[in-house]
Amino acid sequence: MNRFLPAIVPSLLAAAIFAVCLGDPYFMEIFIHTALMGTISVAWNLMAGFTGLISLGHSLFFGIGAYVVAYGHIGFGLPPLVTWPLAVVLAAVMALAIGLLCFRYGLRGYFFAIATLAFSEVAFLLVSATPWLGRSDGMMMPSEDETLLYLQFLEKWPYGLMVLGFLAITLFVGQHLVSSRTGFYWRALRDNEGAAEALGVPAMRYKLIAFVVSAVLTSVGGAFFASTFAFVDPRSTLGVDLSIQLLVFSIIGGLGLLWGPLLGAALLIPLGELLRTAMGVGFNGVNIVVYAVLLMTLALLLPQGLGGWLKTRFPAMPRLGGKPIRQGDAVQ
Amino acid sequence: MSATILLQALLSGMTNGAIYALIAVGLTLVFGVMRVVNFAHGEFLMLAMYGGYLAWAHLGLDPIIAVVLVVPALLALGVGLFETLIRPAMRVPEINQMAVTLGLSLLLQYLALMVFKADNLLIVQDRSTASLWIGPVLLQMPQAIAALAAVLLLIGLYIVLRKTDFGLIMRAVSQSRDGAALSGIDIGRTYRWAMGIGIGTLGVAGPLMASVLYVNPHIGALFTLKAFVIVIVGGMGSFGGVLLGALLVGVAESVAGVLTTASVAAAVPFALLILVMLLRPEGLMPVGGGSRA
Amino acid sequence: MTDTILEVTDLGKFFGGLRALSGVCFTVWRGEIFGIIGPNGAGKTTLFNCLSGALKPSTGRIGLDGRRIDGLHPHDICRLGLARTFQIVRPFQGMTVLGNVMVAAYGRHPATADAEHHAHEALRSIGMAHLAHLDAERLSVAEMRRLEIARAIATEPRLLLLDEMLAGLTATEAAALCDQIVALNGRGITIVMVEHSVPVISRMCARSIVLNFGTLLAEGTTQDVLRDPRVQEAYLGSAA
Repeated sequence: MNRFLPAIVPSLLAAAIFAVCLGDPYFMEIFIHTALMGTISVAWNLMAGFTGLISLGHSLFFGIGAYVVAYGHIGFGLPPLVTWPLAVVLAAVMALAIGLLCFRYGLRGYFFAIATLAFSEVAFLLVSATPWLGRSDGMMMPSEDETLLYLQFLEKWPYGLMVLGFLAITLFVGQHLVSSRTGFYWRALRDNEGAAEALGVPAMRYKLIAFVVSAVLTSVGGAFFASTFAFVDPRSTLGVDLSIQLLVFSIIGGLGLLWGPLLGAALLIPLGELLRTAMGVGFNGVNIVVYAVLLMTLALLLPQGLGGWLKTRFPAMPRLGGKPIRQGDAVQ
Repeated sequence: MSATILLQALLSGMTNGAIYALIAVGLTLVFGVMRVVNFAHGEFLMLAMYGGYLAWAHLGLDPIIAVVLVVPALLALGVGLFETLIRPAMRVPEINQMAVTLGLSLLLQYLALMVFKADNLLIVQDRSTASLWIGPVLLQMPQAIAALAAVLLLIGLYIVLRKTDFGLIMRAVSQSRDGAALSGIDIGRTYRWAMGIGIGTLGVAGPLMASVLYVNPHIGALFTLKAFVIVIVGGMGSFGGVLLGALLVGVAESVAGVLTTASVAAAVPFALLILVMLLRPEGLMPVGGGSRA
Repeated sequence: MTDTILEVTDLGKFFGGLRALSGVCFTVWRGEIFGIIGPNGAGKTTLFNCLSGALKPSTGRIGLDGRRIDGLHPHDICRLGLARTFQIVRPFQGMTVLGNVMVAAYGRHPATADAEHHAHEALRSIGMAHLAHLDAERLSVAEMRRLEIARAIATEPRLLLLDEMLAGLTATEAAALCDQIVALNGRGITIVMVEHSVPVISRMCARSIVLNFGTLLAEGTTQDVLRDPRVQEAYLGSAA
């Protein structure tokens, strides 16, 4: 069996859905949103589900991606060709610095979550106060003549195609890592860091790898967001709500599975849209109430998520190894 | 900047700090005893604030009197929370626990939004505009009352935790669950009371704060974050640490408010957390290492 | 002449004012099975934690094959050929038995196919090949103990530290495990074992040390060590 099956199957399914959405800009917009959030949730889950490092500050990396692209364009007229790689490098450096700081003190579990949250909140509040970054109002990117160079398209589908590619690349990179030495080391560190180190696993290095890979992919998501919507603001790119969404999709879809978070996003985002249109424009809190109830129920009753449940129902599905984290391995 | 302004900032920072300490101490109690971080802690504060507001608006009760009604209600909510969500959550992995309390936080915020709408509500009384002169600096009366109540309650809690059998049991469980269970302590009951008291303390803070700050459905999240910072800065799980952390955060925030813009000042608690991580990492970990292998 | 594999000099570990270990010196020869005896709280596990790098010693030095290893990271010490097992067995959850051993094998064989091959060998050598594809959490206590050993030997060590391998096993299981340890030793792996049971140590280890309250009470042949009056007193004292 091809070891990339868990990347191939979801990518093909996503491509099929993309094809179906081609005819309708509204559906295409939902597809783009879903695929983007699903993909960065997959990236988040490489850290959380596989390595046991729960970050509540991932919006920082998304925001880095979005703001580097937006400010690069507005301030210096730089095209995505330049700003995307810049965003990736900046996100990697940031993840490395935060990771070194957190892991040096053995932060895990709640402590790591709250520490990462602190970093993203500082960024959120500082950007909200910075005039040349548009404060809390955000920034609009101007239209350019060279539309292709600046990834500015009139229609939605080219963005859909781009996010489809991002999704597939993320899944393939993720599956490659998860099914090789890196993935084994990650899961060993997640379950019992002391034992893993005694068996020759360099804990610091592999936790940093997880953090940097996850942050880099997330920053690409942010860069894509800026290029697609030609608009960035702190609330939608740096806010804690974004980080929490990644956790929600991953828990509901299944933490131990590469494609679990994708499943979570694919169920919840369209469901939220549906509820929002059903309830009318006046009020959009109902979808969050439904999210919240679903999240609490599933977190308690189905700790392996819907994906994990599907897998126990249909064991013939591609084996990815890995189950949800057990607790009690926080501090030795 | 004149010395008076600085003194003023120090004073209001310290009163804020006292109130923060009262909010954070419940979070720390629950974490210390149960090793669960309640991300919905601030939402219970929000409910207590609405409780105080409603008692004033509909029953005409003074917030100080309303405390008598709101505390038992919050205590009951805390016990109810433990029985319905936290008890089962203690059997699932840490990340699922996080999801449960994060979900609860969202749920309470948006239910409150449906019931109370997004309006900003404030208790306004005769004494709302009154103030005390302490030497050259000024203290708003509602703030002074809230801070005084916070100090009294913290002293009370300290005595309970240090001098009573009940406090001894709490400390025993927080040091070693298994050891405490072996010596015949009813762990479930201890948890229930820890949660009840942890949330119940917000019943004191809420009504009094409703005359200091506008209540809205999203006010709680802000305080959850601040309480986290305080608890970690002070060394997770220690009573004195919470006090120190709260004063530090309160003062730093209000001094920064004088020196820079409000948005930058809001980042100060988080920057403080990062600074503590850099300079004093041992402040980050619970006393005794938090091991429970 | 005898050849030294592990040399411990003046080893000490203090936790605040508590002296968990102090002034511990001993030498392990290549190829032997060496015993560490001591009542509960004598510092045996702390000693293992210092040797394997999980704890940084406060004083003294540790030499492995003449190379100083104290203060190195656990994974570097593992690389240099020292492996250990843990008293409390906890396999990596959600991985198969084979996966658990592969984590260890990856250290010397970065490619997955190689790691898998060597992990299989390690399992076979300890008689667990038939359990390779079972979920590790389904194993019995005795099987988990053997999995601990399989993981340790998959790191291809020269020196293996075993921490209370026999605790909680039935007499038959313990006897079988002892045979396997002797077989491993026959393949050239030097073994240092901490054991609570004096009969097991006296049967398996030619030489031993005794720890009490973090200090070395006696070193020498196991027979001599056990006859030492101070050892007798420490043991009878703690048993009373």
